[in-house]
Amino acid sequence: MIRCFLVINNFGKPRLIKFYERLSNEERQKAIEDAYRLVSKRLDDLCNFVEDDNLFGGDSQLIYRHFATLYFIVICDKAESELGILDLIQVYVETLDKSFENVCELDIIFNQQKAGLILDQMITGGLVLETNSQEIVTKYKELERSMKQQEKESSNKNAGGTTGSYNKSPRAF
Amino acid sequence: MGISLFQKSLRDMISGMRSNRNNEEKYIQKSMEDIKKELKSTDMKVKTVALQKLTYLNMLGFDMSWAAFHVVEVMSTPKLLHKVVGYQAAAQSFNEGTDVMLLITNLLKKDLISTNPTERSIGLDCLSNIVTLDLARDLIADVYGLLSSSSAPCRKRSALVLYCCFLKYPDALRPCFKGLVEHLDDHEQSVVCSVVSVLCELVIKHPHNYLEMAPLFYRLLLNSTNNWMTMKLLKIFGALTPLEPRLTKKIVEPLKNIMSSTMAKSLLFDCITTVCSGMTSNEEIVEMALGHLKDFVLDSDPNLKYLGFKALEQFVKHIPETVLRFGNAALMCLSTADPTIRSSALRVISGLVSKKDLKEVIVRVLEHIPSADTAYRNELSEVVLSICCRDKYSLVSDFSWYLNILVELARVPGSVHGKTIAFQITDIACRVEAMRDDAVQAVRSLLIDPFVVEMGKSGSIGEVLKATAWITGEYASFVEHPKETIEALLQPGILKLPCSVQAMYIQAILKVFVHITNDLVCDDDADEASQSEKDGSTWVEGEDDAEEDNGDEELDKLGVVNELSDLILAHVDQYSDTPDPEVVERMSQLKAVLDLQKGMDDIKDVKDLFSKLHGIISEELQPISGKAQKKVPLPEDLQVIDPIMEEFFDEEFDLQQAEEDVEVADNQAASVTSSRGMDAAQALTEATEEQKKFADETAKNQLKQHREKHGVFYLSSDDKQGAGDMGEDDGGEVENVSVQEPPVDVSEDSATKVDALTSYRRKKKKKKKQPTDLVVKQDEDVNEGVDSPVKINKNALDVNPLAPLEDGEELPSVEAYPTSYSNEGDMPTYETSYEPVHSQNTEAPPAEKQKHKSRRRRKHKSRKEKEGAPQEATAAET
Repeated sequence: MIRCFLVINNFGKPRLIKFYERLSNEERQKAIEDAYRLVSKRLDDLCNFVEDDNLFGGDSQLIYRHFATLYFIVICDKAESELGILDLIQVYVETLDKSFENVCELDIIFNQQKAGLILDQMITGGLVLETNSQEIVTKYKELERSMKQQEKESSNKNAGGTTGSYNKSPRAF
Repeated sequence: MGISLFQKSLRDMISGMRSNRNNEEKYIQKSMEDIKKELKSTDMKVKTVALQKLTYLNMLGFDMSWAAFHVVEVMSTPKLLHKVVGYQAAAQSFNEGTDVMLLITNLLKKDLISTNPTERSIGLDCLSNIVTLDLARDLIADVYGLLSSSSAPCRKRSALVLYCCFLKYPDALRPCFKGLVEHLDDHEQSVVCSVVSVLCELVIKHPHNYLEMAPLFYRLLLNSTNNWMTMKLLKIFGALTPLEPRLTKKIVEPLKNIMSSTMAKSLLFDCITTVCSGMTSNEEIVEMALGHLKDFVLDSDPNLKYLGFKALEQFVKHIPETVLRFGNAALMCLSTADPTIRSSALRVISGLVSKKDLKEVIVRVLEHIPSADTAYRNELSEVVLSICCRDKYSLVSDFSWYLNILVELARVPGSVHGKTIAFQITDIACRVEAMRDDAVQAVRSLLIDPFVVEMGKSGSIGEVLKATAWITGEYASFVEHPKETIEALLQPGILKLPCSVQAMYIQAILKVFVHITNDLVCDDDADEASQSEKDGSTWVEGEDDAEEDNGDEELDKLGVVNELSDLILAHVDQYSDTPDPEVVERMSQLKAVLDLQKGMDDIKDVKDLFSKLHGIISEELQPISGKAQKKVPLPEDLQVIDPIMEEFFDEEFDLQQAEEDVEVADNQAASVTSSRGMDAAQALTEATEEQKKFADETAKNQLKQHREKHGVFYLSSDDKQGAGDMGEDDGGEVENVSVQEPPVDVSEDSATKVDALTSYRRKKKKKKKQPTDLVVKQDEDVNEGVDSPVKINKNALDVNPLAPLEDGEELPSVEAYPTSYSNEGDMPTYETSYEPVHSQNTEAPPAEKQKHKSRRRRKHKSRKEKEGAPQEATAAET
């Protein structure tokens, strides 16, 4: 079972975090720091697996890939297939690439929600939902479309009447 | 749109952070203040953007637990665009302790029964992320219902989410299991795949419950075209084959086919791991797997190399002799730059090394120490130390060689293994009498080397020096160069060592001095005389001349002793400033002895004094056999049958304490100080015949029950090998069977219910295994008690889901769904009440009421909170 999926940049700043276990804020930050500490000191020509007994409360393995300025890190239990997860990371990056066109760190920074929703189409509750990149893109597009459609419908509906929203703001002037 | 015009969007905030790198903290503080205000806005759009920003900041480590209620507000908007932001925030920030969880049950329920596939999917996803026991209990029926939806993506997702619910609410596993397994026949391959994923997780955790399903998995394995699914199935068989050896034969063929045909390395690797986890008895498949494994190990891709070694580690555990050929490849890998691969290779080496090639392997491992960094050096040292001391040094045949290796390891800069090295040197010197001479010679090089003493200041080498001083003092008769030794023991660098080491050094000086003086003055025998001359000649020049005259000789001897004591007295005062009382005390003792000797002119007095002193010091520390306790005869009046206290055996603590006492007694038979320890030890080792009989019968009965239940999986005759294998499992299995009815808190119940005597008996049989098991369980409970308000037993999923359901175990509200649920169009849009899932009478209110739901929910909130507690209580009772 996958325990978390992290995207961290070369300087240790988290860019996308997704935990499949419920942790407190501090525990999450510690996991992120630990993961970064483990991967950042590794050169690129080393293998993509890290073992650390203290990681995530034990019985975990860390599998990562380093692309340009970003580390894509998966922490999962030891029963998960190593190469399978490595492929999964590859699929995710490919999917991002398809959805953003030449994805770079900035895309993920400014489109976190999108990156997160794409991940949700791939992993649910720590189990792998879909491994086909094209299928993931399609599913995300469907989601996006239905969000936009609803938005359109509701704005059409509201076009005539008042929006009813409260407009006074303490920060207005 | 007032506020939204002036509100910073997420993009603005991130840009702002990037442009304010120098005072980012201040900027974030400012943003946080804005967010707090914006969250209170009634404009949903403003609120949503604020939440989005807060979620971003939370990712960077800023707390957002205070905003949980706002998260729920955003979650409950009908607009998907906003809702998604709320759901993502919830997934990121909610945990077991979040108190607003109660508010979202209905919200999620509405999503799960929505006709909009997008809502359903984000609802399922959100549930999977935030599920708690309460949510799982209230929503499992809906998730289960979605399993029969007409949309394949929905079925696929709900299967996975069901697993998330099982984890929190294990009682649901058995009722849902049948429906879940039915989807292994789903016409949509992707649904089958996700069901297999779920089953894989379940099987890996408790394989014995799923043996019956092996034929089903076998059929899937034959027909699977999806690599991901095949990998999961292989994992399942990897967990099942160790329990049922006959399965091996069955899956050999399909495995061979996969291995020879697949192009996917991941699949190939999983085949190999499946082989090594439970099929090592089949030579043919092992050979084939090893053939492929060789490609992995020798591959230039570090990932494949690492995995190759990782699999090798498993093979080494099961069939070391078959993988001996990989030893060289592992040794070659020690020079690779990748620490992960190196560690794995070291573990392989450590498993493969034998008595024959120990020397060669150790030398080749040590070769890498000079070029390694500190961490790796320590890793290498650790491996050498652990290989050699394994099974009481069973691999080491040449201790003289090993002592030198230990000395070499002590010199490794930055070593953290000083304590272990010190222990092993002392251990060998104590246990192997023939090695004492070698030990003294080996440690001499450490003793006289000022550089080593310098190293001892920091790090763990001080421990080695302590052992060195002790050995030199204890076995002073083997010291070849007394003057040099005493000078080494007095060198000024020692003052920088820890006090305990200093004390040991002073003690060693005393011992060496007493020994030498005794040798010098008490040698009436010719043999000893020549011995002492030999000793003396190395440090006293011109003694040869004096040898002829007897009177002169005696004077000379005194002279030698005086010279030595002068040397010591001149230097020993360096310790007087030490704050440690032990050092000062030993120093003054030493000085007192020397002063006594100084005051004596007559060699007879000296002889008298030192033979006595020598008598005190030279009593050897003897190693005591682990079985020594058994040789102590049992006192006749010892009462071991009646418990000392009635509740003695009920207390886990006492049992453990008693066991520790046994071990202490075993190890140090001479010093059994506590009478209670003695009693407990006797009580544990001497069970009466009746107790044994009773315990055996109980165990037999339980085993019988278990076999009857799972009879299919046992080979017809209880062959000895099988029985031996099963013996391992019996503990767990029997417990299982005996407490099947109450599925929760299995471990606790069984631990307390089992008769005190039985558990005591079992403990005795599995002295090492059983107590630790219990301790672990307690730990888990404690942890969970602290972490989460809801106590969940991790072993609660250890139930047999294949057994028929019992009364009251149905998933009640599933029936509230019409069977034609899959026809999406006319889905019932009933208002879900706050009844727990157990209640049957969920009524379906008219669809119009939906609109008022959110308002009603708030009204209901207080009611639910009131009702919540008793409902939970009853649920827990049932």
